Amino acid sequence: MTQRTNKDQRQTSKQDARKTLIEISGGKTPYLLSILKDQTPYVRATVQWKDKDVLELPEELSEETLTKIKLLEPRALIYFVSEDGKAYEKTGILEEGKWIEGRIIYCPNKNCVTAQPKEPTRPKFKVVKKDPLILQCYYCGRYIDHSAIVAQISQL
Amino acid sequence: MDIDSRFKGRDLVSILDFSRQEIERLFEVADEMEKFAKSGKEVLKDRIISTLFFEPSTRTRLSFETAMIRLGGHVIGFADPSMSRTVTGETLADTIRMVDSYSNVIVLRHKIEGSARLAAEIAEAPVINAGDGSQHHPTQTLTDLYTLRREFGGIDGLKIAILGDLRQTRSASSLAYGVSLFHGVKLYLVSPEPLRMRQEITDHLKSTGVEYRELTHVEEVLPEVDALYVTRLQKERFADPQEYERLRGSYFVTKKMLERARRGMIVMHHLPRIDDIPLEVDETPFARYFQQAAFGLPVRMALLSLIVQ
Ligand SMILES: [Zn+2]
Repeated sequence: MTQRTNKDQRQTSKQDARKTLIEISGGKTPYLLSILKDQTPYVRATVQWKDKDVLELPEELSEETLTKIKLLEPRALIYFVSEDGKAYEKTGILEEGKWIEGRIIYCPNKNCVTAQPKEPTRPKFKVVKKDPLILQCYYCGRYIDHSAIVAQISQL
Repeated sequence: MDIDSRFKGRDLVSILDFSRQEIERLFEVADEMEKFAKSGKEVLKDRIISTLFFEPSTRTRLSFETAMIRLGGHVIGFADPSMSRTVTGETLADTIRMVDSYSNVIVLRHKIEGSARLAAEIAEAPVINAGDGSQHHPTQTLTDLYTLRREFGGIDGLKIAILGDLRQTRSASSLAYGVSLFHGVKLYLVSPEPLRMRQEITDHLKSTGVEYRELTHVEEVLPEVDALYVTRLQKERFADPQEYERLRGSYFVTKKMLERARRGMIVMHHLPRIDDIPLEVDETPFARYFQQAAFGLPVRMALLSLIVQ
């Protein structure tokens, strides 16, 4: 936020300059807030529009958080609003065939090597299908369906 | 690059780690190895195989160990899970690191799914999965495919019925993956409803264009199939024992049942059988499971000779 120019004065508020908008179906909002718990105090506005909620956050979210949002609700739309007020949709977070790596979600198969606490593994999942969402564990090959993903993420 | 050099140092975790072309090359080498199955061929002199069997499997282990000895190499390892438990006060990862430092190839059998994948990531030496979890058993599948090829001259276009517990039996899942590398194979997946093949595998069959049909009784398709691959139905898998009693008749292959099979059909089994194939079937012209088991040796000799540096 250092490169302010006079043009910014045309905007209603300077703090609004860079932000993230998340459009999500209303029923999923509580889950979304549980993911965003660290950021929740900063969720500026929740606008209800038809059966959707639009949440506004005063910053860009990390890839990890974006991935979690999409895992929770693959149909959620995420927009970044740049300093000059232009909004663009953030796409490509969940794509079929793409891998999700890191400690974002865990394989629920208790017999999976990634579920053995002492083994040095890093969870890794392939996006098999986007809607309805199906992930596949790289190690044990098991599918994880969307309801299991939601149950896990919203507990975090 | 010459095809044989593509094998050097390679891991084999899933049958899908190999291409059709590579499998066919391996079979050519196995054809040659059949001649040396009794006499030996010392191409891996002074090389060491580690056989780490965290889950017992006498048959698979002996087959690997014999293959290595016939190739002139040496064997270290353990077969007894209680022994392995004392080793595994440490993690699998640490066991693999230790063994890796003095092995030229590591063979791993483990009940934890994905352990062979992890071992392959850690070890410098090639890792061969001798069965982990419910999906992969690539050397069993190589042996099964080799048996089919020996019997029918090829695998393309065969009609194969896989019978039994298709949900938990790794040989069954692994074979389904294996035939997807060939053309026009038709699978009949015969199991009780709750023991159907997992969606992970049937999705793979769909995406690779393998025609398959799921059914509960084998009798209706028996006259059509070229091979009947039998796996054991375990009573413990049924919530309702009466359900097991009602279905078991369709999953034990009898001489009477085989009267409906076409000439030239073969019955396969990864062994050991318990009561799923009674002794009376052994004397029929259909029985092929002992030959199938014997082919495990030249196939494993071929694999070891190709991948060990
Ligand atoms: Zn897993």
